[in-house]
Amino acid sequence: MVEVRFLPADKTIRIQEGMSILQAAIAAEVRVESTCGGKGTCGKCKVRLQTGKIGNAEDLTPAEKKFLTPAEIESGWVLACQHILTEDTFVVLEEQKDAFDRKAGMRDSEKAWEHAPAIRKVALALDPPTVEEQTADWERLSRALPVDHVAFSRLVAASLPQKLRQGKFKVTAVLDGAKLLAVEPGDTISRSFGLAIDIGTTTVVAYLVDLNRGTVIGSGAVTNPQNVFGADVISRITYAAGGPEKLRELQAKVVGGINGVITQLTEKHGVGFDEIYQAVVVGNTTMSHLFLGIDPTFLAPAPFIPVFQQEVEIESRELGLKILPTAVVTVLPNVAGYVGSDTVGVMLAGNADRLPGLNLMVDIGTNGEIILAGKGSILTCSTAAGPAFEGAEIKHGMRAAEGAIERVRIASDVFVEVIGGTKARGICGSGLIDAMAEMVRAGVVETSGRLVTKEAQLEKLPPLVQKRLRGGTEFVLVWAEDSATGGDIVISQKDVRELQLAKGAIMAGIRILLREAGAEAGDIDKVLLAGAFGNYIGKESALGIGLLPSVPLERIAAIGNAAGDGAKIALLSLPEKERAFRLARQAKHIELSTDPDFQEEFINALSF
Amino acid sequence: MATLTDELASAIAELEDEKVLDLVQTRLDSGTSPLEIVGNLQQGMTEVGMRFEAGTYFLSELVMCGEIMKDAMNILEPRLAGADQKHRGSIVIGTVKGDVHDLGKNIVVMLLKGAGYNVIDLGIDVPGEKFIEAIRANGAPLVGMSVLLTACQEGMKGIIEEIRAAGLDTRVVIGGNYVDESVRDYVKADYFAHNASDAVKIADGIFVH
Ligand code: B12
Repeated sequence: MVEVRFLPADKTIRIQEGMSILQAAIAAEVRVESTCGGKGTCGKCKVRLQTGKIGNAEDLTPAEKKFLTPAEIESGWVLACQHILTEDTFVVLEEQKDAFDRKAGMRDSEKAWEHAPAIRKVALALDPPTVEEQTADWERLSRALPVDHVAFSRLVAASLPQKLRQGKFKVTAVLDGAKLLAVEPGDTISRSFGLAIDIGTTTVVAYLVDLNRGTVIGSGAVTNPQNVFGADVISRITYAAGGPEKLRELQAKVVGGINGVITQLTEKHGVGFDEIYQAVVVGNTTMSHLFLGIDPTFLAPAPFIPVFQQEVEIESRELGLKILPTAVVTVLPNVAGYVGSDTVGVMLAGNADRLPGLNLMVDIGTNGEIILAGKGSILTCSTAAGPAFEGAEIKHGMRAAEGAIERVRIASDVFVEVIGGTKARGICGSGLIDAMAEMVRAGVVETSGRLVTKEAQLEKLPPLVQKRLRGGTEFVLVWAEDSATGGDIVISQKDVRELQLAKGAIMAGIRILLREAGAEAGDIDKVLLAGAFGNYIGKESALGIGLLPSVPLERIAAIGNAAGDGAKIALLSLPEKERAFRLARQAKHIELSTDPDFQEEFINALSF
Repeated sequence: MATLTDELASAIAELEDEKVLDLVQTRLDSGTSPLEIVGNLQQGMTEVGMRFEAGTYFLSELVMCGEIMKDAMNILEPRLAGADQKHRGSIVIGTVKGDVHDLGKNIVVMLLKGAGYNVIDLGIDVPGEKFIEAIRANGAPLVGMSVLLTACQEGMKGIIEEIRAAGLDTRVVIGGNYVDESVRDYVKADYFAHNASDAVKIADGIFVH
């Protein structure tokens, strides 16, 4: 056994020799950025050794030699997935302060629905039993309830005698429809809470909702702890396919992450976990399967078949979720293998079935979900954008965290804005889109996506901008002396190509749905951008690179974390929840992978 | 780059469609052998493949190149009849079972065809028995498999096992965005290629005789 200590988290773990630092980090529940799941192909899991074998190039694997600069090797950097532990080791992680508030702090969608939660609390004043009147506690309670027949609940009955007597037979019953969830001593009608949960592949967000007032009291986010098994859904599925143990591990990871947020929220807002009576969950189809511990194996290969499509309602204790054990957790239905309940949430919050005209809703992420609603139908598709928008597969890409370039302007020179106002350490998705749009506009890159090299083109650029173009291979955004990494921050030709693939895939999906609806770009009345990303990308830039169909700027609006909003709405209104169930069934899914026009549309959509 | 001395080859590389068609016509008229012209076209196409690999060209340019080639071949084909039109050998190719991505594979097909091979493209989601059937029917010494979904890697391994179990000693080359030597070793393929140009090089190495 060796001991590994992680800083700055200051967590220590004893682990078998021969394991990697990444495996130790997973065991210690320390988060290390890794997008390939430990295969040594992404180069993102750089960590620095404080003790142990430092700077010994001979000990490095080919992957480490590929991703680390000589200066980094010198100062003790290694790849966490490649470094095998043979002795006690001290590991320092570069902390990335996540811009979580990006996902959690979205504005709520406009309220156009009836506040009618399924949870109902009734205060009861029961007659205490006497020798003359010996009715049992359960029957005494149930005949006082405003529902015809209440099914016996062992869990509620278990503590019922205490609760009744504590409250001197004045108690409050918590009902979810006709199901008795709990009995609380005294009158607690004023306190009633629910939880809306949005399980993203990357980030999990939970909202604590006051069911009486219909307001969000607080929200919290955490990186999806399944991340250590890979960044994309396929790697998670592949891991889960390894057997029931692995599946349980993934389920436990995500539930653990959510429970952490629940603890924070309940402590911060003075709410007891057993005062949370209901939860509504949305997520992509893979996340829904993993949250429920259902085998997702056959989602990965064609024909991409999920185990279930319908809504799932289940008691929280079955999942280990830290809310009232009898509380019902509803996972909203999905539409298809790659169009999940999160998209159903977007349809609900975005009113896909109610908006007049033709409306396009796009949730841009690793997987782009697209909804085209109007003319009496709701069409959906999913398109693989890849992780470029999240900064992966991009040379200096990073997530939207402190130090990430998020805005770029090109005039006499290149000007950037950095999250947190610090020196730049990389570029995030919205920055990348901005940079591309500016590079196209300024003539740094041709419409074909090629960095300019021809003398005649170069001459048209301002001298300071021209200097930043390196022989058609890269464009320098931030010079070494101004960066936090001490190296130039660039956009490479390959980065441009990755971005083209990503935006081309989204645009091609949009075009196929338009074709299916017999409409054209000009017919679109509104383009609604869902998801955190939609809030942060410059609309003009998105149009500039052809990520969105060309519509007048004012028709484009960001609607925030609409998936999460959908979960909140379903929590606060039973009729709305039922509408979500209907929306999932109403939506018609268009499969792109076998669509005869996809290839042509995709290739056409690649250029700027 | 751009070491092409032949005007026709360089016109293809620069994707100058009209110039290509003009040159093909004038050369034919002036009595150049159609086979020699095809040779020049292939040279240009190889260059296009290299530029794609280097990132200077992208998918649209490749598609454009494919179309120019098609138009040029339309002019040439009637004249090639009778000429010694032997192809360089047969290659079976497909995207493995469970995977639907075929853009990359289509490029490989295009460049292999451009390089003079007889390519039998089985499309997407191709199971082992289909590969085996096609290898047998065409006596193909080389089979190419494309995979982009990491989840289909296990299936690809199975297909290669099936091919071996069927007693075929066909060489297997694999490719796809994430494929590298470790994938090749894992699935027990003979070769891997990062891009379509390498695929042609590998084929050229196998079909030398
Ligand atoms: C376009 C695309 C699609 C298109 C496919 C269209 C088609 N007909 O092929 C569509 C939208 C249908 C699609 C669907 C899916 N996709 Co997709 N897709 C992509 C994307 C954006 C580009 C792939 C591409 O065409 N590249 C361009 C070509 C030219 O490159 P290439 O394929 O690598 O090929 C070159 C080399 O690899 C090599 N090569 C390729 N094949 C062969 C074969 C041989 C024999 C040789 C020698 C060489 C060789 O030569 C080629 C030319 O140089 C990638 C992301 C990315 N940036 O790579 C995701 C990606 C491949 N898709 C992915 C996924 C998961 C899917 C889905 C299963 C789920 C989803 N929605 O995300 C779905 C299918 C289900 C569904 N209905 O949605 C993932 C795979 C992740 C993983 N770990 O496996 C990727 C990586 C995106 C991501 N990170 O999430 N996708």
